Amino acid sequence: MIQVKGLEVRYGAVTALQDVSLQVDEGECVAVLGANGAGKTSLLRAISGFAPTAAGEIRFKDESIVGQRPENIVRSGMSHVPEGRGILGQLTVRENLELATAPWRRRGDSIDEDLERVHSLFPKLAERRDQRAISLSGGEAQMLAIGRGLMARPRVMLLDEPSLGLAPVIVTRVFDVLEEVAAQQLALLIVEQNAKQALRVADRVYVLSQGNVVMEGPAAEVRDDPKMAEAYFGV
Amino acid sequence: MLQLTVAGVALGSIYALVAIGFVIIYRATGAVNFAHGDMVTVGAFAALWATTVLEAPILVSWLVAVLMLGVLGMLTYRFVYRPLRHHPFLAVAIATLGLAFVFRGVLFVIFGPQPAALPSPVGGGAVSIGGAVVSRHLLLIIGVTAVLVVSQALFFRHTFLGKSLRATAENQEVARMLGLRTNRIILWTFAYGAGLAAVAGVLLAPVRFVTLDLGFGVLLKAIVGAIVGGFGSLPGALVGGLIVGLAEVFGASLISSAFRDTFAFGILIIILLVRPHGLFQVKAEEKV
Amino acid sequence: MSRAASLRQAAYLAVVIVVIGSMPLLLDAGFYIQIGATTGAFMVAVIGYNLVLGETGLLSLGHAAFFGVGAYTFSVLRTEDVPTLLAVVGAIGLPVLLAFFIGVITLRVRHLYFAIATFSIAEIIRNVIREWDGVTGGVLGMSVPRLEIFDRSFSGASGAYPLILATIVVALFAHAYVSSSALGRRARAVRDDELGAEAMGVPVLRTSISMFMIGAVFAAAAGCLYALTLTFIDPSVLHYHESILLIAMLIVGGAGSLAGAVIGAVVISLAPELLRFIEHWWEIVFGVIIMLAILSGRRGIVGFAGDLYQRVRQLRRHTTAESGLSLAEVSERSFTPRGEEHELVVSGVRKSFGGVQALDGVDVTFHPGEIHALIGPNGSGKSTLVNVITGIYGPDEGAVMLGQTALQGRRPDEIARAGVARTFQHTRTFEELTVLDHVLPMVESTGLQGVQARDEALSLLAATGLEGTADLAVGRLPHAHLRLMEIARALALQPRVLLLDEPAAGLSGEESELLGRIIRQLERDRLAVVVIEHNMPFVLGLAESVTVLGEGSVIARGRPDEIVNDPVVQEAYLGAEDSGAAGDPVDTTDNRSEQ
Repeated sequence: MIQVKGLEVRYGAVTALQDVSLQVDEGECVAVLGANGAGKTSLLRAISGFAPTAAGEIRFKDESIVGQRPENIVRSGMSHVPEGRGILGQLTVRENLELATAPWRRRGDSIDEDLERVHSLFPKLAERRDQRAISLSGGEAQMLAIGRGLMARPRVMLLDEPSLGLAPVIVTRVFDVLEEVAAQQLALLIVEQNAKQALRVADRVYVLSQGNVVMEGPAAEVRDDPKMAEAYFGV
Repeated sequence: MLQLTVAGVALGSIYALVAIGFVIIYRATGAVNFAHGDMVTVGAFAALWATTVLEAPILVSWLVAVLMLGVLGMLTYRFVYRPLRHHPFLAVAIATLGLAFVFRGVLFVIFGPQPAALPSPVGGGAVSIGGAVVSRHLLLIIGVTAVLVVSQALFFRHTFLGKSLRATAENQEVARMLGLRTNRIILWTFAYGAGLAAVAGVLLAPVRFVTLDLGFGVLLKAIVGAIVGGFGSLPGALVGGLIVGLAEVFGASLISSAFRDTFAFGILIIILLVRPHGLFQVKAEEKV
Repeated sequence: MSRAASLRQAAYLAVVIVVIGSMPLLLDAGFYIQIGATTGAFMVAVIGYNLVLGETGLLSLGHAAFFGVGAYTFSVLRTEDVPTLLAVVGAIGLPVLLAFFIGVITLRVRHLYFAIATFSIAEIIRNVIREWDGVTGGVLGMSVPRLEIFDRSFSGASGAYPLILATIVVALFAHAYVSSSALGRRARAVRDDELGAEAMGVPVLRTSISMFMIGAVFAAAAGCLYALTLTFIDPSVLHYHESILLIAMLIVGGAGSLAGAVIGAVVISLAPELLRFIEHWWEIVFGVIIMLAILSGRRGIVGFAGDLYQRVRQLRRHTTAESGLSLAEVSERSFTPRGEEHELVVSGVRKSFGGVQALDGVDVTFHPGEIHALIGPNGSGKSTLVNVITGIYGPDEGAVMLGQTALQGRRPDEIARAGVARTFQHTRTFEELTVLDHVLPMVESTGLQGVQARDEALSLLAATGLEGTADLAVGRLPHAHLRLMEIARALALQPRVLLLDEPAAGLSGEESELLGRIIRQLERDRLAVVVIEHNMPFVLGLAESVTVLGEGSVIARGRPDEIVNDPVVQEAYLGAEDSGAAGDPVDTTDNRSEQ
């Protein structure tokens, strides 16, 4: 579904990612772990077209997408749930969800079924459908961001640190839902600092440190590898 | 008294239309458009051209003006704003001052400096309401503005494009993450904002003559209105525009007509002293 | 530019202007005297306007008001037989007062407000002048009384001409002086980055108002000259067209450059005269030129010429600037903080944004002579804490005390001057200015001046590995140099407490090692150094005490080795297996056995 080869991302003189390669297959859940500053967000932004690719190749559904406009990449079936959730606070919850149907919706198409599906995953969103999204709590906002990602009917969903700034109980709930989502036809690429939670839902894992992939493998193997802490703390 | 109120509300409506167009473009791009006033002028001249050269009926000439300005708005985005989208606020502001000169220069070359009159579709007559004689055209201005403001509010709230516009204004990057083609959306925003300027131009023209200076002065009072209402807020632009219009008309007739402009601009000074963020304060703690 | 270079440039310009400017007078070419005199008057105003728009970044849409008020005040006072000198003082004093008033009420808020307010006030004044016909002659205008000194007439174009040339020369040097002064450097800091300037101790409002008032002086003087030249003035001298003309002159010539102001004034004044054949296409050409000046991304004619010159030079020398520049060894020096030694105590600080509690009661103390690492996962509140300490946000609750001084609720520049300096995560610089230009304003804000300030700035550069870079434009420096320059700038304030926001981001191993050496020197000099960092090996190898933030509160503190092995910290970074348990015991022992 997604193939990344030799990706390099630079911001001016600073190299954020160096020679990163990874792959996400159909229906697979892949996690990219690493401490902050490791380059995880740059990776996702490069894939969805927001960060410029200095070198390397990114393929989606067997087509190169380097240099394409982000909105067109999204429209071709890749949702991006950004770091910090990217909620449109001045719009209502329902409007946030509705706008996310832009990739497939034509005049007259009904979105009720999709709304129904998101509401059943996140009942809180149904309760708050007509409130401005700015009034949501952090956890609810994350639910909305994920729900919005699903409304696009994507083939793959990129999630940038879904645990960010949430209480542990909420983080667990978020990942429970992601596990449920991953069980459906959808491929997930989750970038996370919270390794324990991500390892719970992921099939395969990459570990990033200082812009490089330092480990990769099935989640079960990486989980027990002591090198994990090293990648985070460098000791 | 009623007469003055109608005149004030009508003038304020013009300011409000201009202010709303200005603020909508500001919200979509984060940049100001000092050529917006000259778009008002261009709108009035476009209608004038349609009535004289094409001999179109007045209402058709209005339509021509709005469509032409819509296209002009899109061109402005494509050739001025888009190339400057990563430039600082000041650079864009100054470039639009240059654009204003271009608009005015082109009008001068085509139409010359003589003022011309654009008639109103309701004629120059007046009606009597409760003993007061009120110009029919002023009532038309208020009516058209009211219809536009209400339909705009409905549009923003209930259509997909309207919601997309709001999403883009709030956060362009997130809008793109949702698959919205923000480029096109901003293009439509410009078309709409410029179209509003054209409406203001054709509404204002029968009250004043069509001159090259028609728009710029209006724009500055409209911006004063937008600031008085709280810059960035659309209801604020409407209310602020009305306040400035009323102040100007009442000040001019009750105190001194010579100081007409001073009343409008004076309000700005008072607001800046008393309530620097306007009546509808736009709250936003900027994150670093 | 250094003061000497600035004055030298002014001198060159003065010579050129006087030589070319005297020609019409010597040849007695009436037409050119007339054009030359008005061009000259405008030139004085544009030179002043460059200090406002070019150097401070303030877009005044009503600058002609100062011009007009100057002209009218002069004429009215002279009509009332006030002595010439007093009339000039009044003609300059009134606009300056006006500028002060406008500045105070509008510069507190956004730039757009300033532009609109200056326009509005100019229109109000024009309105007043138009209607006050008993004094000003109303729309019909008034004639300007003749000025004669020792039987020599200074009225009319040829009479005023020598006076105008002389004033231009004075204006050039005055501009060079202001621009190379501490105020000028502060103004440029405000223009380039208001927030950064504030954090570096620059009083933004005061700086802006001062520059605006100085700009008004030039405009008012120009107005007097204009009145003398024309011998007759009417309210159109305050028309916004005139204000926009000033903007156009500056943009076309090159904003931010003295030569640009001069060239712009000449080009825009002469072009309509010389290009008469384009007739009323003039406005279009004029507008297109303004837009092209902006769209081309160059700084007007001067910027364009400068680029050409650079390209020719590069063709000849084939040097790709300073890309191969490496850092110099740091020189030994001590950084003596100002004032007494104090701890910085943060207690009970809370801050929320919308519904998100970014800081939830943070207590932490930073001691002098200690390197303190502030770490935590993404979104744990590190940046917010730094922003609260440095006054960018006010805390919702809690206190930040430096010794006995409460810092919460104060402005960033006040906090910086009180002894808490910071660097930013993203280096904030202005490409065309030199390294020295970036550091000097900070040194000067401590009260040092002239050669002393320059020496101190150079010494700071030497101490941060930037020896020999002082006169390089920042745009060509490698990334590591910029990060170190940020530190040099912060140190210039002689702070008690230095907050470094991700100083090692993007640095190579060797470069971070140099950075580490600088930071250790600060420790020896008894500064309290706070390092916020993602690069764990770097920060844990450097700091002796570590505070870990998680979800807006302190979750651990201690020595680096304690922190790394703390199960709570590991959980914060790696996450908990399940939400109920605060740290899975089995898991932490696993990790511990590995250390």
